[in-house]
Amino acid sequence: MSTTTTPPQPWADPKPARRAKRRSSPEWTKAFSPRNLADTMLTGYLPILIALIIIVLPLVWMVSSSFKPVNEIVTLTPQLLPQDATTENYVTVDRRIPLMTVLQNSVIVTSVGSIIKVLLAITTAYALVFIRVPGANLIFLGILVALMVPPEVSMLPNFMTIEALGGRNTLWGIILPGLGTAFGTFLLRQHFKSLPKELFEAAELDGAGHFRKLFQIAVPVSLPAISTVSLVTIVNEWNSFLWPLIITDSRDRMTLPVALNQLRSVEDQVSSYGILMAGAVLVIVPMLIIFAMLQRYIVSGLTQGAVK
Amino acid sequence: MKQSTISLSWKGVAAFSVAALAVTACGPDTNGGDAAEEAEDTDWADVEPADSIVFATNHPGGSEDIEADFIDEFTEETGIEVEVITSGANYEETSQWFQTGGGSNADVVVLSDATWFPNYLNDALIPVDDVLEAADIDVSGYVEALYEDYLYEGNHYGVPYARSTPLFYYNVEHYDEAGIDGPPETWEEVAEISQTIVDEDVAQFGYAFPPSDEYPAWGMANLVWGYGGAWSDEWDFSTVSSDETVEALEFAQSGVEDGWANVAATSQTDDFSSGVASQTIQSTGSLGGIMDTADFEVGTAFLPDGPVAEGETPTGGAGLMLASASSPEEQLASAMFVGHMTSAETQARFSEETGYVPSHQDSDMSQVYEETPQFETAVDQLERARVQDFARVFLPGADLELATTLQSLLTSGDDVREEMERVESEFESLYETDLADEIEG
Repeated sequence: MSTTTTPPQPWADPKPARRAKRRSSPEWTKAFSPRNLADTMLTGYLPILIALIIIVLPLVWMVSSSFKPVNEIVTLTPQLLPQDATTENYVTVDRRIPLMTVLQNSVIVTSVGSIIKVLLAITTAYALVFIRVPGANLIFLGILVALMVPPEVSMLPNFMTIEALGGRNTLWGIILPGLGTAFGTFLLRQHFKSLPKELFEAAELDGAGHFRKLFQIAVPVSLPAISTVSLVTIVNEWNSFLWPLIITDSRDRMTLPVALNQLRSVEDQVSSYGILMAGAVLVIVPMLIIFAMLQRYIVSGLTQGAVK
Repeated sequence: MKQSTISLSWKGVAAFSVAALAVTACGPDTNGGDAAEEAEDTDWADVEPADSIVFATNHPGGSEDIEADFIDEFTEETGIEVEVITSGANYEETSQWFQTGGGSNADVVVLSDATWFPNYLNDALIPVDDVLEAADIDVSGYVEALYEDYLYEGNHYGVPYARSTPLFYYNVEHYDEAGIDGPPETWEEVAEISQTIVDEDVAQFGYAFPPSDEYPAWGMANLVWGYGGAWSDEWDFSTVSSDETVEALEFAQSGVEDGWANVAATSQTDDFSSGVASQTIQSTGSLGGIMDTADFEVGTAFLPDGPVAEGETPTGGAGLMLASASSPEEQLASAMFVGHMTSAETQARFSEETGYVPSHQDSDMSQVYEETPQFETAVDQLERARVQDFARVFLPGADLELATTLQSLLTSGDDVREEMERVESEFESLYETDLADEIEG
């Protein structure tokens, strides 16, 4: 503070000061040295920027296109922003499909489906790890096999079963076949296995039963993992297309993606781009909100395995 | 110890795999009764129409609102309730839906030129001739070429509903700029005009060919017929690799090689409407969409002539079919409904709304043509309609085979004859595996 105002002392040799200055200057100029700049740019910002463009640009383009009239979408001179913005596409989506009904169906199917799925995954994983069941490994193997079989394979038997049960065009018919979740069980089992045994031994000494151990110890300490499972489940349920398409044909019981599929019409493709974009925005926005809400957990959930 | 756990584990894997395979092996029983015979046995004079029927439709051409109007009118007229089911977004989905679960409760279903025959083979459809007569529907009013598409072994299996033909579209502004007087009449002129457009730098390409998922074998049948070739002659597949067919396809291939034509990336409709290409051939059902999208004046013309034949046009689109699983009462009510949906007056309004050609000869379209004369070309062109080749519409999988081959031929410059000979043998084997027993047996 005072050093800047003090005049230079006659006995002081200016050379070491200059040397010191030269030595200290890299401390802040180093950050701007061409080498460091190139390093940061090439290994840090550039990849991030490219990744961002690849991921975000299509989404931006989709949102922008949903507000464009069709002659601005199919054109040789595309503009990022709509020149003659219109909400006509959204109005058309609303006119052609009962948006509120299908939105409600989607919300019900997604919430009920994911809650049951996650609950089942937590309890199954807990049972596999902490309860001594004969053949637990065999059961786990069965779950792994289920993970390897593509869901399309079970489409037909599922359809026949659900139809025989009277589940066509019902919400429970959409939810029921997907309830067993091999992925969630697998992920949580691996996570539970990594929890310190001492935690549970201590709880046991305090007289805690399985129920308390599960919901007061295992679940709270595994929240990031459970959030990851929840998030993946919610997104899958929300976007689930093939099964709801097969099991519903009445619009009162359709989920959002299936109903939006009905916006496509044969031989009317070129004029429907904007409408499809509007539909896609309507499907994606709720998911973006959920992602934003759970983002903190996802990141910690994903990195958890890495830093252990 | 460790060893035994592993072997036990593998036993588990094996057991589950076997179980999974066993479950997936169970398919539906496809051996239905012979629908044609059953329907012929019905004495329609004793049958009273049912009170309600189920109509499965994909609302072709974005026709949902107008279909609902027609249905209200029908219910008002006859007292028969119609429940509408949206059976998919396109014809393939509708057909899949009908073949799996929907067949059990749909009475009337919309099926396309290429999807009705597999359903016929599954005995899912009844011949409509007798039941239409019983319902007092005069079939002589239908445009003959469109109705005859559903004729197989002496019976008709559908009624023309949302029918289209390919149409020649051109960009009037590009024509003016390049100093071209009018649309081409022959394929030779298409090439000349396209070359001029490219030379004058008016557009990037003069002509856009369809990509594989825009049913190229449908529109390009005109080109092949024009040279005297065909995709097949009834069940004789040798024409697909005949000199004439090869010559026609080599002409198309040279167009792409010489740079006056391209193969559209997504759809030729997009390339044309955006101005990338000045001319294309696309369904009449796309007319409405193209007029909405294009910033320029759109011209329409007949499909071009070839060196051998005048520009014949294949017919396409969808018809209404009656389900064999329905009771005779429902079938009679369905026939009445089908008659209403394809009457002269209904078809005129349907055509105006969607762009499909009216399937009834007496449909009055004069007012529509006054406003949008482009529509008229499609209807006038019906005089040149030709029933499609068996290979494309009846042979399961053949249209796809043609589509992918055409795209690769046009874009890669492979030897046309070699490829088409491969297609021919592919057709033979498809026929042997999928159809021979059904047709000859």
